[in-house]
Amino acid sequence: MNNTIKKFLTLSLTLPALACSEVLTLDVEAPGRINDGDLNTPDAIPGIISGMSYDLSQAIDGALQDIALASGDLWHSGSYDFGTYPRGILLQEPEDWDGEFGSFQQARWVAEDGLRRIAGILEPDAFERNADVARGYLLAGFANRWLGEVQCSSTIDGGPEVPRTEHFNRADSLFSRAISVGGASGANAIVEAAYGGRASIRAWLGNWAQAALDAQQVGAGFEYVAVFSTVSGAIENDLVFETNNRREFTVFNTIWETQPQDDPRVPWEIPLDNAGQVLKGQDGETDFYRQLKYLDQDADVPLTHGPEMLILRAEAALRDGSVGQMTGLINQARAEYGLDPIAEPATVADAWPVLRFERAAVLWLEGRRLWDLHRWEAEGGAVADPFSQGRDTCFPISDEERRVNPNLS
Amino acid sequence: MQSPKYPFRRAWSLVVALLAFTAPAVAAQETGRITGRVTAASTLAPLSGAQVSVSALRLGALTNDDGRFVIFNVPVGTHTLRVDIIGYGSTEQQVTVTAEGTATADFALTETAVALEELVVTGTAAEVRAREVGNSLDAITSRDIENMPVTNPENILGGRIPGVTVSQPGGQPGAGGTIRIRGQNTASQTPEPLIYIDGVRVYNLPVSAGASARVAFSPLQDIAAEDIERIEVIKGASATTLYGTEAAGGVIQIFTKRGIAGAPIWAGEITTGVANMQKLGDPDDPTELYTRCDADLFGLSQSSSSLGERVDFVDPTCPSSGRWFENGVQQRYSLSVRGGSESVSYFVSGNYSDADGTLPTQNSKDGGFRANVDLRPLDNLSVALNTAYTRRSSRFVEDGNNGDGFLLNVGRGTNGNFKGGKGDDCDGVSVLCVSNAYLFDSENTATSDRYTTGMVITYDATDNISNRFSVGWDYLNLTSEQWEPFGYLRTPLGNFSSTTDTREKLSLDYTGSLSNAFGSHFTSTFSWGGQIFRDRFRQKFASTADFSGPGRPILTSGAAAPGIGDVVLQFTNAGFFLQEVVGYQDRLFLTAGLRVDGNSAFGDDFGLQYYPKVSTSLILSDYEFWPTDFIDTFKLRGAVGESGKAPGVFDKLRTWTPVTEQPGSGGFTPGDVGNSEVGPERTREIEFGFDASFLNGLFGLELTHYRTRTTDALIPVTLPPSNGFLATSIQNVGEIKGNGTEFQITVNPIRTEGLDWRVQANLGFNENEAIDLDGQEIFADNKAGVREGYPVPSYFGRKVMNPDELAEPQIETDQYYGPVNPTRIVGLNSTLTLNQALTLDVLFEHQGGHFLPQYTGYQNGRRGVWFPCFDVQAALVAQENGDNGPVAQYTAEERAKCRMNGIGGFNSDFWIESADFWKLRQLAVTYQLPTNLIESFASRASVTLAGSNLFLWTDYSGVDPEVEDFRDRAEGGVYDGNGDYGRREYYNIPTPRTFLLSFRVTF
Repeated sequence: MNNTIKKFLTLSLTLPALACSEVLTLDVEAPGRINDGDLNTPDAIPGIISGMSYDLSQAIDGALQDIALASGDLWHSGSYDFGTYPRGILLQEPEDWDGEFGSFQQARWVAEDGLRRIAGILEPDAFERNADVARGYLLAGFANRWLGEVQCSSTIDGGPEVPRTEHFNRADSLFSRAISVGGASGANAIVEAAYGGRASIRAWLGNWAQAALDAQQVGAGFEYVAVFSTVSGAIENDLVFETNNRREFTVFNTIWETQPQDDPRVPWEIPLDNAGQVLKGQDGETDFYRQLKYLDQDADVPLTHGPEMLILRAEAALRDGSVGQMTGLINQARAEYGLDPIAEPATVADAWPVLRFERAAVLWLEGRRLWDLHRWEAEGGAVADPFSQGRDTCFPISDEERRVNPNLS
Repeated sequence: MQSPKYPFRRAWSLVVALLAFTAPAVAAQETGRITGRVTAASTLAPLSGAQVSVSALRLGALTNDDGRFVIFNVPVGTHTLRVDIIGYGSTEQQVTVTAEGTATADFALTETAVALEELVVTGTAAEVRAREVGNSLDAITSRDIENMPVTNPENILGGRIPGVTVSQPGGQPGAGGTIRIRGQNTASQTPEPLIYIDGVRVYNLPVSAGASARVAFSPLQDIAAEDIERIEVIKGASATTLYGTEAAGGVIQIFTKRGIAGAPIWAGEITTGVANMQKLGDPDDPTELYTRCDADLFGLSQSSSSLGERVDFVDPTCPSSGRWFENGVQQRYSLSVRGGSESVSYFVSGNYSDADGTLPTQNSKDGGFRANVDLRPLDNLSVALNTAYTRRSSRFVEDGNNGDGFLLNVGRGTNGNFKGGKGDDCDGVSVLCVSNAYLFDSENTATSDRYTTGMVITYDATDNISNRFSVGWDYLNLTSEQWEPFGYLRTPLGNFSSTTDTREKLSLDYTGSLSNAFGSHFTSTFSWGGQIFRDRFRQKFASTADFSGPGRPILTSGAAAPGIGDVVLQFTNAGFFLQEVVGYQDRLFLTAGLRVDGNSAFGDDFGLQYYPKVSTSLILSDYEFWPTDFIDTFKLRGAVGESGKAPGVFDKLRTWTPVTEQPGSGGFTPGDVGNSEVGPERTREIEFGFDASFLNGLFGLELTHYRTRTTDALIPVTLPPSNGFLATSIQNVGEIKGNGTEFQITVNPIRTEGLDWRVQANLGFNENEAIDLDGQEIFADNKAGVREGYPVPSYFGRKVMNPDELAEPQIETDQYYGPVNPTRIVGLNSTLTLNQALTLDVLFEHQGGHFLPQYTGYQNGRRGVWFPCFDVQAALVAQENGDNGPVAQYTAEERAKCRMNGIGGFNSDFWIESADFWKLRQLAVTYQLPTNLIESFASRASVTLAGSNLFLWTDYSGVDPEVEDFRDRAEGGVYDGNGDYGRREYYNIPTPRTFLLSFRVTF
């Protein structure tokens, strides 16, 4: 073989091989994902807390439409299949609730697990004075409150079936920790929100006196929200998309269609087509009345706020038989929206429909009404809302959880 | 992550460099040339692509289209010249070459149904004769398809190889198909076969052509049919063992054309024609699923106040033709040249096609080139350089389950989303006014660039030692964009999104073999080799919306906050193998092999896996006792082997995904659950069968039966959601069994110079069953799942238990419907040639045994716009109003399927239907122009009139039982196989029929 050919062969064979040996490695490279162990550092704590908020918002976004239909906040005018939810049949197809149940459980677990993780990262003293930790407790409390309010029963971390009150008890504890850690770290908004959360929880646990005391810690103009953002598609407020870009839900055929459209608590409109006719919903049949409470896809959803607390205190007063005090508190709440005061109902029985209406208005499209219907229905008599008669008012443990959780029958 | 120590890392360069220096010297010799022509003995037709070789000298050439060949630089002396070509018996002839002289040797080959001397490569480590191979082999050559309306390997493979299923899931121009080999033996991983082009492994998974297009580009589309010399397919784990992890779905190897020593030979083709959409919907539906907008258009009201009453509508934007579909003009051009000398040869080709779709804005253009250069610097050294580039640019209409989709709007009649029109569109219209023309304002495009290059070096260090080294790089970049402009009817402020997918596969592959004879009876071929494959994946996505005015936007044009996404991934698969083939009297062969494979998905230890194989073949017809008068060739074969499928690269790790809570505030949300114990699933296959040729090739039968068992099957196990991680955990807990039988029947009843007729039937039957999932049940979208005791995957749901009774439907929940994938695949191919001039080719294809959710009918039915339901719904409305008389004439199934909004009780499960079908897939008439007409400008020329997808026979009630929405398989636009296997038809445009006229010339 002459030298030229040898050199040619050497180069043609060796250079590609060397080049490739440099390029080829045996590593998996995937920037963008974080190994579990990499989060065990103080620098990761703000991100861990933000993740809790993200997961809670995502869960709320996923459930808000179901609850709005199930509780009559809105009526279905679209083409998506919501099964029997608009008719108040929630227990028949537990697989329909798989996604929402999973998201709420993830939000709860992420918050509770995150707090356990942070407790392993920070020294005890630092942990007790950390504002991020206070927010973590707050978010864990709200995640549990949501689960308690929407679930008929539940389960914790793959365990056996527990009553919904288990979530209320956990939330009570978590909100109390948020108050103490938030107080120690100077996170006043967290503390105020935790009082709001705990007030509702204590009411649901039957301790209305303590609930009213907590509610008084919340200013009338205060609001604490689940953060929604268009930066991330997963926590865009989909109700806005479905009532602006689409016409999936309507105020038509709800209790609000007879109410003024300019009530700032329940704002809505009747859009018309080019011919001046009422627009039909996505189903082509149902009149479409558009909700205007949430206008942008980054519109936050309140978790607790001052008017809610005033109404809570009004309900506590009513339960004490004080219609006058109830009316005063309701009117304080109405004043926050610039609404005229209402007249005092003549009797306790007359007061309950007023209380129910005012609470429904203040909490419209905040995902809270299903629980209200449930607890009022359970008490019966004048307390019960006729709307909830014959309807399911809570969701079952999801079909998916029942299938794969060995501790559930 | 830390790179593990790996002893092979630098070894490649040393091995190949050393090999280069061990080449022996070559002495100068006196030489001459051998020339001749190869024809079919029965018909005298020239045979192109035949391998003519002086094997003792490692010299050879391919015949051209006229069957002619020339071998240069043949040393003076007498040599044995051999001809091999698939479908014909091999023949040898002695030729004497004189110095500077030309020896002539013509061959007339006899056809055979079983070609034992055919050389095969795929799955065999080194090039071997078919007689030595213990598993079934399938190959298609350029001769098999030269007249057919095929443009890429997908069209070629459909219906022509038993056990191979090729589906055409969408009718968007440029859309790719899906390929399955022997059904599906994995519960959760990608079942696609591996693909090799000219010995280099390339990227093998479909890539989404855009969220709105609902179709994918397939990697096989980028190989022009005109460039293909041969395709080899091996099917099961027993055959693919040497390919290791990832090969359980089979292997397709494509060999493109190469240079032929001699003067340049040019080949060109011009094709033109039209695509034409067949009628959609029920045959009696005068509106053809509302795609005829000049028809009497109406639906039924769903409103409680007017339930079932007729709702008329018109569309003032209807085209003047009265039909939304139009004929799409098709053009295709290709030109190639091949030639060279004994030391350097080349094949260079280029092609371009421009195909309009059957809807106004649909179009696809693609073009590319290929350059294959073969260098032979030494007698014992050859270097093959292969380079190909393809650009595909398609514009789609929005399709599928998509609020802006064509059929979802036009096909929904009164219930589409484009209503009211613009300006004065609807002035004077007294009924419902729809304006579907505005859906074409949306612009949806996909552009892909595919560059594949490889170098294969073959070096025979001695007469019995050969080495083959290849390096390859496959690069795919696909950008898809969706633009709904400012002023768009549904989103007046507009929106724009862009996704860029990049896939790269870098490969190094070395194979060596040592051949020896022991005495007069035994031969041995020992092979060894190793491969490294490095995959890179990146997908970038960005979107914006709310433009301030007209004009073509960019990603910063919108007022809305932009959406972005980014996925990056790199991983390596590597392994080596050893194989020994022992032959006895050239009649009995025993092969034993072992593949050792690792994958970076298995973690830092690289998780070495071992895959063994054993196979045998026995040529009974070579024994003297064999009745060769009746059965002229008979080969028994059997094989058992293992192959695998690797889990995803993150299935081992628990990870968290970065998320954004709000601007300036990032966080983490649960990602992969992680399973530190996960490994590959293993498929063991036992295959046996025979290849037989009867009555001197008149009749051929290849029969194969196989049984597979997949152990450690990767199952996405759902964990309790209350444990926080909602993603499934991939675990090795499953076991799947399968079996199948494949027949290839070839009949060549007439073989004369004036008339040649051959018929081939390819039949494949497969079934599988999940026999153990550790109590798990895999739920996927679209009603598909994997359960113990049922085929993988299958459809389950609510079912009418008394479908044919004239009674109210009795409905049971959670019932089995049937498998997702076909269990019967039949291809019937007939070729009839008159006077070597006029050829009629026909290909029928059947797929059956499977089911498909028919969402078009479901969604239309519940909205009162499904023609077959109109009468039933009138009866159901009467029933709602207390009159049970009319409904009595309808079956329980009709009553269940046709329930509608306003009545309730409808359910999409009732629309899971049998998807059995027969199609006249291809029909072509070719006329070879007489020599005296073309001799002034060409050596050969032909005209072909061809059609594809001409007729469909099916009981399936949807638009086409082959369609599926690609987005259903590719969650987030990324197809990774993890549970994305539930097909469904959801307002998808089917593949249209085409009519093409081609002129081919060789000169």
